[in-house]
Amino acid sequence: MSRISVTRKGIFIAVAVASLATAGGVAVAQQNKDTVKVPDGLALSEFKGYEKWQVIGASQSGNIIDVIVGNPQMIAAFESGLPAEGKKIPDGARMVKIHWKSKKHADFPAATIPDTLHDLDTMVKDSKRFAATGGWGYGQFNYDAASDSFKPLGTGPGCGFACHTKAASVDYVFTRYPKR
Amino acid sequence: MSFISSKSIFAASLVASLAVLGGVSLGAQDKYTLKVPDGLSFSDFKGYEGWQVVSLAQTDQVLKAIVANPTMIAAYRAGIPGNGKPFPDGSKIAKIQWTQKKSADAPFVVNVPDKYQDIFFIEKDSKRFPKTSGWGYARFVYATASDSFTPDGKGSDCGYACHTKVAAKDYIFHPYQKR
Repeated sequence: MSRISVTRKGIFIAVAVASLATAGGVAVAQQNKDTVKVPDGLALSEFKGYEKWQVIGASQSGNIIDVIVGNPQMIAAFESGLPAEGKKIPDGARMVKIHWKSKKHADFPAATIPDTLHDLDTMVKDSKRFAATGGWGYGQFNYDAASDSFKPLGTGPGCGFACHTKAASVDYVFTRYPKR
Repeated sequence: MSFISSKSIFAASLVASLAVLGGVSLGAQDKYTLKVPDGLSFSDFKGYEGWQVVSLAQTDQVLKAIVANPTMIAAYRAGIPGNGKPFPDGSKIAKIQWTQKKSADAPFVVNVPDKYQDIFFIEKDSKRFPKTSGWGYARFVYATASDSFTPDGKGSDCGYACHTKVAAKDYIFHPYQKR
């Protein structure tokens, strides 16, 4: 009697342990991207909601195709005619450039379309916090499809500054807001 | 005397103001009044400028952004059409096409949008469009010089023949891209 009971209990415990292990495995595999942060730089959570932001523009280079999206402040800046010579984009404006590897569309081979996610490039305007880099903070988060997770690139918020200096006269923004 | 004078000046300015207003309203087209004859209205897609991106595409000629309304985005996120289920009525999707050019400013070679070329709209209404598997199609061509759109063709089936190639995906070519 008691032996059966102990056995059942033992089975229950074994199942419970196995279930916890599975749950633990899932938790490890699924990264919470809000916790990803460039050391001494931007956190991905500063761009929370970017998945739904409005399209600014698109571009294609080599085997990469990308869309640039912006938060409402950034869209308002574009709609007011910025970027423009000598004018500043307001603090709080945020942009994310979503890079995908590209491939031919299987059902329409004349078209090149996104394949797997490659990385996210982020920019946020805060003239006080990023005074050393023209008022913009930059961050790059590389995506790894195998582990379904993002990994920050480098350290600090200055990774895009050298490159964007070429557009310094229009407040460091390359992207334009084409009519739609 | 002076009273009449003021009144006529006021009348003259009023006429001038109305003329300016009239000029503005003639010059700037209200795209939401456009309609394909016997087909879709541009206003069916009101607010598409703010819709979420589904995907992108590029051909030799154009760079395009595909955006969809919240109903359609929710359907994509629920696994449609990969799960074999159709998009629900009320799903709307727009494809914005730009000609492309090499960026003059970027420090590397990159193609960016040049001129706005046209916009394609598709909407699901299984009762209204039973002959085209529930989807209605429209295309509006944009002219930069006049800053205006012109509907292309007539009827609501302009994309159907082409889209039957992806009938198994409920006639939609583009999956929702992870971001």
